[in-house]
Formats: sequence, structure tokens, C-alpha cells
Amino acid sequence: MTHARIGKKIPPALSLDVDFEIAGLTALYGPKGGGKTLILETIAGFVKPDSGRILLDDVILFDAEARVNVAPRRRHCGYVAQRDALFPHMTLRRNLLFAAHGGPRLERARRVAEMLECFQLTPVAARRPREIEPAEAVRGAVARALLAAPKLLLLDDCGIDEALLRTMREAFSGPVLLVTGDLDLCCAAADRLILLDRGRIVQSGAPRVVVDRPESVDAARLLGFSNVFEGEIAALDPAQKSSRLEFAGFALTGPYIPGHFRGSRVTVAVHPADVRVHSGEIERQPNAVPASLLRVSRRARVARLEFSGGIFADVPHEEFERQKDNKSWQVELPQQALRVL
Amino acid sequence: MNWSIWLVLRIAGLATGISVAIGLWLALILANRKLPFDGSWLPKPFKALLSNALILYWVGTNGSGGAGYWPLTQTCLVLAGVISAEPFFFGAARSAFAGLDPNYGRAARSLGASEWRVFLRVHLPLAFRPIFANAAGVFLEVSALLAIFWWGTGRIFK
Repeated sequence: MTHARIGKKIPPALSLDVDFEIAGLTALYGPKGGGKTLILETIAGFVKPDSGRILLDDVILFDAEARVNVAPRRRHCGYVAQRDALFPHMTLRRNLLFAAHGGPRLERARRVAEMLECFQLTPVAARRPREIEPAEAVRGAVARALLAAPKLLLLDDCGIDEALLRTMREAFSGPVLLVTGDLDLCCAAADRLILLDRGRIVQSGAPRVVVDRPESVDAARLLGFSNVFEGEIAALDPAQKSSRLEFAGFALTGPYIPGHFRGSRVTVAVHPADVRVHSGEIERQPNAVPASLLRVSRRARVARLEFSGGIFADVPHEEFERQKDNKSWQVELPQQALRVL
Repeated sequence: MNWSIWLVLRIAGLATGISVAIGLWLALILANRKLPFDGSWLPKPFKALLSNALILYWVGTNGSGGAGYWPLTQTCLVLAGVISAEPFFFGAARSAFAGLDPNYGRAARSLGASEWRVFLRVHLPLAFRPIFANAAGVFLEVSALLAIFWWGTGRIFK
């Protein structure tokens, strides 16, 4: 079992208090300054926690009560830093040879050559880190970490992509803890997703489950659910599996909410990508709310529209260009898009 | 061969070697620790002048012409050179090590490298230029100190 329970205070900015298991590829996702890198550093042994216990394959690496703190070089944790991972004064081959320390020379050279081949780095093996592409440097750093035969691989937000993760998983079957700010990568590659905010685990589980069903307002905000409304259950219909929800200024038909009664307070989140926007003189749509457009924020692929009532909608640029001169707007919050927190 | 020049170079070389060995060791240990006093309030030329003047006074008053506690030998002058140069070399080496990205040391340790190996293979090569430049500076400083002392006393050391 690979498990970490870590408590660490860094006043006044952060108070870390987490307890989680690392199995398969576990992704840590959260905003900057939330303590993701600090978790990696404590597991690797570079930072000493104030309290807690860290186990790797049932071997204690750190135990505050028993006063056990294994040195980083004896922890068998491969660590790839966010930046400047490779030694700049050595060629890529020398970097890898550094990790393959010990054993006969020919054997070391063979292992390095195999790893270079596996990560498609043979053509640039004689170059120094500043002479190679950043993507090649990341591949080199991962290859070097694997050459030391780690029991756990810790990858900080180093610009790793899905293809590299796939190659890495072919070469290494042990547990991996990946820190990333890329939610798509978490869904595509991770077996387990942990949402971290201000040193606390907000939610964890299978990536698709976490992304589809946030359990708290903090989790919803982290996952990009900009529309969070507090309201009251006006009616519940188990036969139709629906409910009537009343918010400040508008009412919606929502999913049936088991375990709640009429009059209960609920919080509902809707992702801006799921909000539909209608403009012009049109009939009132179901679950639609008349709203006035307050602000437009042009993003890479979509235009984010901010409406009165704190409603946000992501609309493709072409669609917004077609509708932008209209004066009256309706914002539709589809029933299936409502997430009751 | 001018033996007085050879003597100055030999003493300066020995003093530099000892300063570098002690300074590197201290600098590596104290690279990332905050020291209560680093003398940064005093400009470097004044520090050099002050320490050299103190050493000259100390060696002069206690040397062969003084009370006889410190006979004016090569060992005494090497020691004076080390005491004079060590703070500057230590300060420079400490800055060089502290300026290195901590990720290099961390990466090396996570790869199973011992502290000695991290120092020899990672820290020292990365900080080589400033350390070498300061070692050369120490050598010149001690040479100058000895040359001034020799010129001032008007005799060749024993």
C-alpha cells in the first residue's frame, strides 16, 4: 500500500492537511498555491511534514510520532521537477548515466541506450539540455527518473503530455503521482483524480465521476462550474423523477433529489458550456430565464457571456457573432445539466 | 629563480588551497541557512583593508621582532593568509551555492546519489566559474598581502 497522510503548516499562506492513497496513476489537480508541489516534496523527502505518516509499498518513509524520516536518496521516489529537471552541465546521455549509477559499466550503458530508445531520445543523446527541445527535456527527465528504478514516480507540473504518459506507463507499472493543471489530461490518463484546494482535498475518485458530479461548491468552482445558485425545493415529483427549484429571480425544473424535502435549501451548479443561449423575440423555452447581457470575454475557443443574475455561458465565437446585435436574450439551463451539490 | 617570489607564490598557493577547502565545505553546509551576521554592511575593499591591517599588526607585534609568541615562519604567514582570505572566499562560495537551483540537488538525491556525489558531480561543476574566479582572487590577495609585508619589513622570510 502506498499511502500519505501529511500535515504541514506554512504560515500564513498554507496549512496542508491531506490523507490519500496512491494507486495506478493518481492526478492532483487544483489551483496554484494549493499545496500540490508541497505534497510531492514531502513524499520525496525534501520537506519535512509537521505531522502524519507516509508509506511506500508498506515501508514507512515518514512517521512523525515514531520520529522516522528516511533520507530522500533512500526513499526510491523518482522525482521530476516542474522546471530545470536535467543537469545543465551534462549531456542527455550523461544525465541518464548519473541515474544508472552502480553495476557493471557495460550494463549501465545498455540500460541507458534502451531508455534513450524507448523515449525516442537517441538522436539528441549527445546534446546538453539547453540544446534540445523542451518536450525532449521532459522526456529525458522522465527517462532519467525511471533509470533509478523507483518504487513511486512523482511528476510535478512539468509539461508532460498524454503520449508521454502512455510511453511511461509501458516502461513503468508502479504508482505515479502526477501534479497537473490540465483537467483534460487528468480525464484522459489518470486512474484517480484528487481535487486539492488551499491544502485540503475537496473531492477524489475516478476522473469522469469527479468531473461530472462535483460534490461541493469548492469542487464545482475548481472544475469550472461558474454558475452556482442557492435555492429552495418548491416541489418534488418522484414519478416524473423531477423537481421544481426556486432561485432568486427565476425557477427551474431539475432532477429528482432523493433524501430532500419540499422547502429544503439546495445548491445547484451548471457548467457554462452546458448553458444554451437564445436571442431575439422568441417563445419562452423550458428552463429558460430572460436575462440581459452584461459582459463578453473572448477566450481561445469560445466567448464567455456574463448575464444578469450571475449566469455565465460559453458560446462558440461564430454563434456569438451571429447573435451579438440582438437586444433580448434568454438563457436556458437544461435539466440534465443541473448538478445538485 | 628569485627565491623570494617563489616563496610568496608557495605561501599564497598553500593559503589559497586551505581557504578553498575550508570555504567550500563551510559554504556547502551553510549555503541555504540564514547567518546572523554576514558583514554585508561593510564594503568589500574596507573589509580587506581592515583584516589585512589587523593581521599585519598582530603578526608584527607578536612576531620574531616582538614578544616571540609567533615566530615569523612560513606556517605563520600561511595561517595569516588563510585568516585574511577565508571570509571572502566563504562568502563568495556560499553565494555561488545558494544561487543554484535547488531542483538540481533534489533531482540528484532522488536518483539515489549521496551528498558527496551530489557535491562533486552536480553542485561543484555548476558553481565552478564563480568559485574558480574567487579562488584566483584569494591567491592574488594573499600574494599582495605577502608582497606588501615583505616590502614593508624589508627582509626575506625565514
